[in-house]
Amino acid sequence: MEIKVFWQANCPNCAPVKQLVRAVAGGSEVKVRELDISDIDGMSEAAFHAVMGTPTTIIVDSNDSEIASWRSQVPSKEELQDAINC
Amino acid sequence: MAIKKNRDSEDKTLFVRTSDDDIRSWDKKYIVQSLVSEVGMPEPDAFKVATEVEFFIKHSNLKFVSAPLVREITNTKLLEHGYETYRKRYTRLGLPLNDMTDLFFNSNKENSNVHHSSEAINMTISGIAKKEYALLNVFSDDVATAHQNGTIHLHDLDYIDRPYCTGNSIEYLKKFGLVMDGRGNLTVAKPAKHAEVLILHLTKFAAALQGQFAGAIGWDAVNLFLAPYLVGMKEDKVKQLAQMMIYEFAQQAVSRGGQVTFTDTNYFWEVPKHFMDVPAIGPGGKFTGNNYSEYEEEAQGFAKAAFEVYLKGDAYGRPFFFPKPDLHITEKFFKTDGHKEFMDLATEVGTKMGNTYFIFDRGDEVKISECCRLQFKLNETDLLDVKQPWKMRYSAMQNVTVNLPRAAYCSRGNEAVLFDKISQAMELAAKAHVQKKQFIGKILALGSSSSLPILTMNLDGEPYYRFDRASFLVGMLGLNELVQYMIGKEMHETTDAYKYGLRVIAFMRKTAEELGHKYGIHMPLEQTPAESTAYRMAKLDMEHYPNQTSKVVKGQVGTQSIYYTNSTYFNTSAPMSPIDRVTKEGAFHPLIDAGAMTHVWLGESQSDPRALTNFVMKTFKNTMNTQIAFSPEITFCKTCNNKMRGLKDRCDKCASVKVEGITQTK
Repeated sequence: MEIKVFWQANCPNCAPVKQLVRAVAGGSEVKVRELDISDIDGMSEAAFHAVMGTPTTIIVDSNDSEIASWRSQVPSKEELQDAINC
Repeated sequence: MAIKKNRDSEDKTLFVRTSDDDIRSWDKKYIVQSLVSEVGMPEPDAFKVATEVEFFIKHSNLKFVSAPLVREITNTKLLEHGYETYRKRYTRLGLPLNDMTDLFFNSNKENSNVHHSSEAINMTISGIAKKEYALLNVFSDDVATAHQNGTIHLHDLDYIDRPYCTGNSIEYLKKFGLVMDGRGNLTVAKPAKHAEVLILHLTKFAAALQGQFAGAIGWDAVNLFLAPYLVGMKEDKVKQLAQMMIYEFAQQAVSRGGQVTFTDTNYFWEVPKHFMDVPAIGPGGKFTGNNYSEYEEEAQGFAKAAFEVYLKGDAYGRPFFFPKPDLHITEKFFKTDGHKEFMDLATEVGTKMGNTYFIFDRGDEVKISECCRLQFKLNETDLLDVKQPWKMRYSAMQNVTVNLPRAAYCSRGNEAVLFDKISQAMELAAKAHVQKKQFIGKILALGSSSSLPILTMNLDGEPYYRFDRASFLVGMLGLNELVQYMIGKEMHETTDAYKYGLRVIAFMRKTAEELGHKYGIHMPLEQTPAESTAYRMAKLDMEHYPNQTSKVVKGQVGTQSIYYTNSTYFNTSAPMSPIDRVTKEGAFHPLIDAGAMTHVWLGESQSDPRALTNFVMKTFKNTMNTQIAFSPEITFCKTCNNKMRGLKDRCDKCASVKVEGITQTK
């Protein structure tokens, strides 16, 4: 399982989402990948997952298939935990 | 010039038939003068070369000597002396006698839009000379070499003295009338008072513009801008006008070698948000006192009539090839009354005739479409023009395509080297753009006496061609083969391959932004319409990189029928469902700012238009795809005018073999 956080500069909600995801995933086996949508990896991953705005948080399984997502939204801690434990 | 010996005179004087249809007696001073004035050669050196040319000619016992021959001999002497740069600048452009004979007696089969005619021959001849000129005198050696060896492809070199393509507004004609030549030397018409006249102004001006651009001429919101002229008009009259416009565009075979004008007409069912509060211009070029928001009914009437004309086809029921109808779908489209019925009509046209292009403008996006897939996405500055819509004139100056499989071969499978190679090719594309910009800038600086007088015409405080607003396109060819070479799978085969393709295009987008900044130009990516380039680059690579190319090239290896997959397309024969194709190909579209599309191949199948309507709506709502078109295959019998679904060798009805297959390859 991996949590992808799509962010960009000048996005007021991006930093809080990154902090939240780090906190929720910390200590677990869940990997966190923060992707700046202005660089090549971020841009191509955003295209792959049809990300249209930031912050976007997507939880994927080992096949890169989407389990849960919050698009242009800030997830709550509980929502994230529920999705990870689902 | 040509030279002949005067047999009657004792000293056997040589006479030269000049390029000016004159005959002069031989005098080597003309060679000296031309070498000094044309290439800047120091006079003593020029004299030495001219003396050797004279010696050669006088000892060759020639019966007939022409100016081209004298120049060829002079060039040989320049090379013998190591004057390669002078030779290059002294060269003569044109084509061999045999090629010219071929042009007269063998029809052009290379361009399906060009029908063999005297005008088409003129176009070919001028194209050859202009292309040679471009590669010798417009572009630097490294750029010209990169084109010739297939690293990049410079499009439309045969129209080097024109910008690439343009998006326009009918409002300009409504407000300022028709100045056909841009100078006002020909008959000038005041702003049209009647719809028929406005449509004639539109079709004539489009044809005139085609003479000043290499590619497509697009027209924004055609139905909306015609609407103020249609107030109170009965439905059958509106239909007649729509028919007139489409036939006028489709039959006016006068531009570029007798082709019809390559026209895109943009339609909206709703009044788009950005035009709602714009004051409308009506008959006589006067403001009507209403905004465009009040002309929705008339605009819809014209759109419906036009698509009904497309559905019926021409006198034989064949599709109209031009003008292309580009239907914009916005969020507001789905909230506008009658959208479902209109979508059914547009989809029926798409599935039966293949005409409709569905353009998806999501969110606040505003676009003008033209060419096969090119779109001008309007930025904040462009949107300021909306309040004065006659200002909405946009253009791409040039289009350069990068050969992606070649970059992969040269990388030998190393990703860092691959990106470096792509970057180098894109830098050459940027240099080519700057060089074309300089060349066109020099022409436009001549003002109304330039060869592009419509572009320099100034009726609203600035030239018609807004030079500083031009875009410079970078296209890509064979992404699928690049991926296949680098990781051993095609993009439809594995997620890793698909994501690798996305990474390459993300890299190209980023690089285009950086290079645009470096060179001071707006350089977006575009899926170039590169069918002939797909064959050219594949053949060049097969010649120079046969081991690598044969592993990935498509078509029949070992024959001339090989090609690369176009732009970012997936393999056209990949077993993918249409929705999977529009979704996956659509993921590339947001990375390609200046236009991308997916063709949904219908082949022989006669799909239910209502099912396809649903498909279009789902594509808008559930994917990032920016443009789709359906591609049916149709065959027409030239003997009995029977229309058949699919590509056939023989008529189903009368068994005639005089049949014509129509399908789209864009």
